[in-house]
Amino acid sequence: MAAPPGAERAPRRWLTRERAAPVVAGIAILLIWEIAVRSLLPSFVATPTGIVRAIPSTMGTWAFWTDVAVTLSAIVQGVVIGSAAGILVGVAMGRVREIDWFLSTYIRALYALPLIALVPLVILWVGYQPEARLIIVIISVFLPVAVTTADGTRAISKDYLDVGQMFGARTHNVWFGIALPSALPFIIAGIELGFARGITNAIAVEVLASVPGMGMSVFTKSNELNENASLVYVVCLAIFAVSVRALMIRSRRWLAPWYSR
Amino acid sequence: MTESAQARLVVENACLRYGALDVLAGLNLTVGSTEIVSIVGPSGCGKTTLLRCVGGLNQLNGGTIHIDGQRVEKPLPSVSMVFQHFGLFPWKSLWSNIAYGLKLRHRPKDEIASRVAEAIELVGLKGFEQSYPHQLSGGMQQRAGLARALVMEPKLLLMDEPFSAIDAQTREQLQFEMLRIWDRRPTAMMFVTHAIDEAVLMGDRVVVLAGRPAHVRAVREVNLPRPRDRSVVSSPEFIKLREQVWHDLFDQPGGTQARVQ
Repeated sequence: MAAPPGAERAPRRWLTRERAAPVVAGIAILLIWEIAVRSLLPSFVATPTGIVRAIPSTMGTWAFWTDVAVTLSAIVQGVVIGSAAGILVGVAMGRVREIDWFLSTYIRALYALPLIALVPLVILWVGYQPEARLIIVIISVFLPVAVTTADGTRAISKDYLDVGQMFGARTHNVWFGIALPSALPFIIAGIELGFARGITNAIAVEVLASVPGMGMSVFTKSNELNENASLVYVVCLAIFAVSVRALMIRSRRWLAPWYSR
Repeated sequence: MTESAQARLVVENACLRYGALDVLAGLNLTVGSTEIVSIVGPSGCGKTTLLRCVGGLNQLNGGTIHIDGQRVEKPLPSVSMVFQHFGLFPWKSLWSNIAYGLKLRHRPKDEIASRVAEAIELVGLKGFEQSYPHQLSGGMQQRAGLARALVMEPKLLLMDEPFSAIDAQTREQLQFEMLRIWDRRPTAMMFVTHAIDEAVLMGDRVVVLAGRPAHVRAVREVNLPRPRDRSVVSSPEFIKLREQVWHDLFDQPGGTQARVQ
């Protein structure tokens, strides 16, 4: 008889060389940075210790947390809306050849395009408003999710389709009961990519359209020669991006445990 | 066909061609209401195609297939299939995989629960309801595939080389269990296999197909007593039948043509 689920994993050492490597590299970079700035550059240029010293004065303000709230909530909203739309359109493209014929060329062309190019256009539509950021994030997520969902739902195993047909699955059962779950690993990969693009483009819109948020503050602080404060924002964004990636890897293991085997 | 005199499945003059390729050419076959008919033939001879046509997964170009007088043009609810590669959905637990057909047919919840529990018991998977297919051996996955078919209480069970992807020892075990299950719930069965032993062991009749196009080369009545257990395999009748089927398969008027191809 097979082992009960989850029992097969052997206990692993927490500290491995693989895990230590990025920490060692990080410390080395910070050291070189600190020494190089202190010995070669003027005092307003950011240093690692300077960033740490700037944390209380930066993160201790309402303005900081308002920036974090508006930017991150716009990104999360955009990811939710963009993913939902991307999944629906992607399943339709993956399962109905005719829809794929009509849409595929344009969605793939937009997917390959740097969305920054669309920012001026979106500003024309909605003005210099926070909605511009949301719209760009939605598109940033929609495109990769639509493309990966279409590819994933098109490539479902014929065995699954036979089973569905044999046991009486109708079209909507095939779409949402077979195609969608079997494409989950693809969809999660698309959302992960969309998230990364969404973060990048949200910041870009804030800068280009002067929409208040973390990206705009990175620039205003920098223009005020407060580079250390500016980099506190950057570090927070980096932490957010890394957490999102970790969350995606977790959710793939949780939602599609059969895939990584 | 003695006590199971009235035919459950009648295939008349079945013809199927893909372009210039004749797959089935005027094939006739009947299966009684509690009869097991084994279908053997060289690989690529069209035996699986014939089974898929009976299941309604493929369409004939000519001739008819009737099950209990009803013409097969799409999969009928009274027919279940067990697939060569199991076809379990990896994102569903064993329980949900087995309940799939009943759920698609919107059976009441408590009826599903009791029928699924019974089927799980029957195939010996009790305690693994919440396991996922990737956590189980091939043999156990096919037990689940069998339970998923049996839970529908089919009038005709189609077996598409069900044990060919399973290791030899487990295969033997499953063959006898299949016989035991059939003894408890006799039903009409079409058992496609390329193993001569298996064909003789399971069948009331062995139909030897030759291709291409597929036609019936020989039909052998198997008068081995039921219930059949391991002692059958060493009986002289079994050995004699196995030899006959072997010769039906490999001796042909055209000399060694089949082997050379």
